[in-house]
Amino acid sequence: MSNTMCRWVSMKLAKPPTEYLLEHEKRIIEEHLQDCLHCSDLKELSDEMRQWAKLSAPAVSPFKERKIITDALEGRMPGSSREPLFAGRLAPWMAVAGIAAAVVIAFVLFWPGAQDNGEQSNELRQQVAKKIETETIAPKAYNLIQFEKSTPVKLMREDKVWGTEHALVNLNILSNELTRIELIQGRIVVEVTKRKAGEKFEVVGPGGVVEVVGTIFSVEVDDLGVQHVRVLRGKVKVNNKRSGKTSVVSKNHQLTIGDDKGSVIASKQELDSDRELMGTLKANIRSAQAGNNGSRGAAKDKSSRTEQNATKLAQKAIKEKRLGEARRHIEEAQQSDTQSQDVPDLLARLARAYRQQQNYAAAEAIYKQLIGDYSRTTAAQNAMVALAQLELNALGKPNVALAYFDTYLASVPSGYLSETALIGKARALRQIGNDSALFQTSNNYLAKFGKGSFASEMLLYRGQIHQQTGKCGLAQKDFKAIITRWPDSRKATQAREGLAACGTN
Amino acid sequence: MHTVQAKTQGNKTEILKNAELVERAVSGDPMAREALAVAAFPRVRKLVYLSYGNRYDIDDVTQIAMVTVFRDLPGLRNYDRFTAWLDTVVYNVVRTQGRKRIRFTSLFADADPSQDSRHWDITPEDEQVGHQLINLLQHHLNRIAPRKRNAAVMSIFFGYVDSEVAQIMDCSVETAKKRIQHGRKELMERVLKDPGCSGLLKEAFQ
Ligand SMILES: [Zn+2]
Repeated sequence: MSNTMCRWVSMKLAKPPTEYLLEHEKRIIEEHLQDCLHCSDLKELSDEMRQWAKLSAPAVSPFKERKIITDALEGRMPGSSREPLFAGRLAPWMAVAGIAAAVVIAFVLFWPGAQDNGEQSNELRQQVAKKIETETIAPKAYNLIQFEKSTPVKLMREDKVWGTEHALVNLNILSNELTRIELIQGRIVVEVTKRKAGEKFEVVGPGGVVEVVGTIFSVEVDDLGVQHVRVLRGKVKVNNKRSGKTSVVSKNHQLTIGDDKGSVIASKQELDSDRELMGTLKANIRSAQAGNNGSRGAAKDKSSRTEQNATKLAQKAIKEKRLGEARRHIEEAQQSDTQSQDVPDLLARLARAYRQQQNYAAAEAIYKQLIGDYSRTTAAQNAMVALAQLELNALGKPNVALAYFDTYLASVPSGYLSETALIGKARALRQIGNDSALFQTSNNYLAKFGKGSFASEMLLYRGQIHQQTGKCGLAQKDFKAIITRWPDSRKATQAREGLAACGTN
Repeated sequence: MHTVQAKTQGNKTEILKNAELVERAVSGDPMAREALAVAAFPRVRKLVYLSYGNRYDIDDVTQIAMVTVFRDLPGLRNYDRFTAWLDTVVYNVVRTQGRKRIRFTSLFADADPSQDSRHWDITPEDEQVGHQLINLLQHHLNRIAPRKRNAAVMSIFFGYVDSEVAQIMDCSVETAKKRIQHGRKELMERVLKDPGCSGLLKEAFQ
């Protein structure tokens, strides 16, 4: 075969499988492959190449992986000076477990790949196992667990955890005395057997820690990161991360961490949705219906069942992205006495689904409906922040965004989303160019959340305004604070520019 | 506890597609940021490993890429396309880091020991066939010119089509097309000439 022919065929074979060959090209190639060994080898290889996407890079040691992740989150470039590795969020865990066990716990926590490369970390696992034996505790860490409906994950003793399909948890069994679940998103229901004094079971969310004695309860982190706790049996202790306040939630009560209401009686719907997740609701419905048939008329029973359907159908339609249909079912639910209380939550979910489809106009309309019609619900309050973010980021209307952020901050001044609302407000003011209000907002934020997630951004805003108004001394103070606290961040670069503009370095 | 292990398989890819979680991470929620970092790490490392073109400082470049990703994350707007954004950021880190390295090592053209010691860094953990194969592929990729190499990596190992590669590499679709095709061809021919490959290819995907 001619070299030119081989070159032509090999170029065609090198095309990605997504690209089409013309019919006559295919014929020429097939003919050529029958006589040319080199090109038929190439063809075989190009077929095999489709599988290469499945390959992953060789394993890095779990310690190294953990270190890179921690460094990345804290903005540390390779080789930059490091603080003690176990500072910050791990400290309290170690305090609980005691100094002797601390080494082992740290060892396991920094072992995030445990579920990934079964075989590869065998040696490491044996090392850990050996260490554990000598310390008489059996800690385990599982990251990013997801759930199937009605199928609990079984823990030690008879403890069980159910989760919604989009729930995401990290599970850390730290010792016989301490089990800790980190809930990142979604809702879980936990059944915990009675504990002896000194034994602890905890669920940690963004809002705080839920401590358990022996009980059934659910914890939910909703789409805005707000954490809700509901108790089906027994009671739990909830520790608010931000205020440090501890409250007790007892049977059939619920608490939204960060709102001012404290523990309130949970609605039947919500308690039922937890039972449904556990798979114990069906029996309850049937027994309730048996009771109904005795005491109530059949017609009434039927109507309550259709109403039940409206909420369910709306939820299902949202999940399957049939949003117009979902809207109709929500209207049906609105007409019903027993289900109108589900409507705010359904509207919030619907708006979110529209936003995911980038149908921002529809999302905006639904949020406005929710805020207008159900102004006193938590869903509506949260919707103000969601809508404001939408106006600011997707719709480019900083003035409208500002109004909603302000309304939220005025109506729920110490609400869970106030930090988010304040940074949103600052960004909107920045876009509008209202420096005096931006200055006030950053001051306000820094006074309230000096160690908050957006402190560096707020310090930068304040420093820049100081600098522009000629108050170099104050500007330097803010810029230097950024450089000391986040030395490798982009904000630090901007702060250094600010310092230079002030004439010092 | 085996049930737990089974449930965590394959979640990392799904997490990268979870627009809600990404949105929360963008707005600064520390738990969401951490979940995203854990899920993104294997992908970032794979892209660096295959496209950086050298074996020496892969861990450092991975860290620089991760730092850059989480530094720039607050600027992400399209939460549904996190992976494409992630790969673009990582690609740009790889490109600038690679350029720095070339400027430095070109003074000592033959001093790069990776040139002739293909298996020098295989540890016992890598003895799995899949890892031997990717090691071998990396070895051959390292010998292809950077632009062609990176286009081929995006196409073969990350499944991007030409228009997407054009976006990530910031070039025209026609250019991307050519780079992909030439990169793939060069890699295929290098692999075919390597007698160590044929056995591995068959074993790896049985
Ligand atoms: Zn041929």
